[in-house]
Amino acid sequence: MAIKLPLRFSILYVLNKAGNQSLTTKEIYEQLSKEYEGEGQFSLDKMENHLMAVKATGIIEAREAYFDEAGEARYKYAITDYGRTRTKYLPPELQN
Amino acid sequence: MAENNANALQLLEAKQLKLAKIGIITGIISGMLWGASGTTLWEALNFEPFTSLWPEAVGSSGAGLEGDAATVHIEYLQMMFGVASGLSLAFMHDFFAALWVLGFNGAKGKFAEYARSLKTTPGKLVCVGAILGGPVGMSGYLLGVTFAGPVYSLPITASYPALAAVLSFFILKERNPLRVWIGVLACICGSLIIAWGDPGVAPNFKLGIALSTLACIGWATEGLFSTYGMDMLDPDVALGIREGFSALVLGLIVLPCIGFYMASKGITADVATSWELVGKTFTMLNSPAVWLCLLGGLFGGFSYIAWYRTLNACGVARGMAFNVTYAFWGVLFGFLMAKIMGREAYITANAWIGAAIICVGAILVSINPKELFKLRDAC
Repeated sequence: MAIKLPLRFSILYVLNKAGNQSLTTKEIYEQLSKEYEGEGQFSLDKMENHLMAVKATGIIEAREAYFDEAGEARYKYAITDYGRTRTKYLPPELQN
Repeated sequence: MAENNANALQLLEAKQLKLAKIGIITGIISGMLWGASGTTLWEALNFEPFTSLWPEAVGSSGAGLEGDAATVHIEYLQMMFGVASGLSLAFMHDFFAALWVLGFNGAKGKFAEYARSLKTTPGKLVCVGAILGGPVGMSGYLLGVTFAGPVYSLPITASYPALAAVLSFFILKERNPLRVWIGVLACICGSLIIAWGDPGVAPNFKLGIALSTLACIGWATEGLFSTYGMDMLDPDVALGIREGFSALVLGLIVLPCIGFYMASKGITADVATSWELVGKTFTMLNSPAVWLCLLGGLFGGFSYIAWYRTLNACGVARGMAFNVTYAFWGVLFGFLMAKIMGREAYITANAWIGAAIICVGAILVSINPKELFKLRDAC
């Protein structure tokens, strides 16, 4: 991703790219770490907060729950139909 | 495996329910902070430079006027001073709120998000919303506070969800349940009750009430634009952009326009312009005014931050319902501030009753009361 987008745009991009597949917080974090590593707002714990906040807007949804390696209960997230309509705000080269 | 996942789901839902309950508290806090913000900003008007610059004579613009003509001219000068003061407060609120929120976002490592967000369409929509919410909404709000006092103007401005419901019906063709229209009617009734109860102590009560409705218009229409953009942006960053852009438009366009208008009427020798008031407020550090404006901006900025936390935790409807309790907090804090400052603290019965009715009305517009504390659907 050459253009650095607002973090939540990038979350939408990653989940749109995943299609119908749901991703864990860690998987989303790892896909974005190259772009945002070193930023104060970007960490695995803070990614969970970002995802919960984006989930509240209806753009993504929590599809499944599981326990991670540390024994913490986590959600897996996927883009919603509403979220797909919002991908029009992504740069054209990132929309599909 | 399936049982494991079911256990994880239970734990997560319990966690979200806990967050939703905390969201109720942050919702009430956001209402309290907004009530405190308006009260604090109003209090700044009781100190220099606002007190010594209050026009009490016809000045050079009214030279030769006597009797009733002189009285009318002085009242005109005082009204214009009120306008200049209210707008200077609106600018200072948004300016300081933008700085506080910038500091908050910087501490959270979100500074870079400002520029990234502004390059996007949702970011630009937030700027459009900022013009409606700031120069229109905040100006109307603080002009209302200036002319009618926070106790009477704050409840009127809390009717903005009702106006938003009406606009959404006509513009977005949204169908609203009966409860919403009852809420709209309650807000109108509450506003009329307050407007009918002139306490006789405000500079220009009826004008203040009318200007408070401008705040409703600004904030209701702001919602139509910025809500559409904000679901894709970090709300703390969107808020910082909103406050900063609003301060920019107020400072570079609105305040100078008022100055030009006053110059065209030949009254700038007798009435300080908004920019003069801002300049004097910033330089008179021994006066409480600048510190009260700084505090008002802090309360206002963090009221919004608390509000967005509530929206995320409990949903938009509950967030709005708890936030509009500021109508009541504004009455209470206005009363307490007067007591603390040793002034007469009489609040009319109309204010209490009207504020309570508006609170109930705004809550009805926002949510079915039965759903208010049913937090499971927020999870």
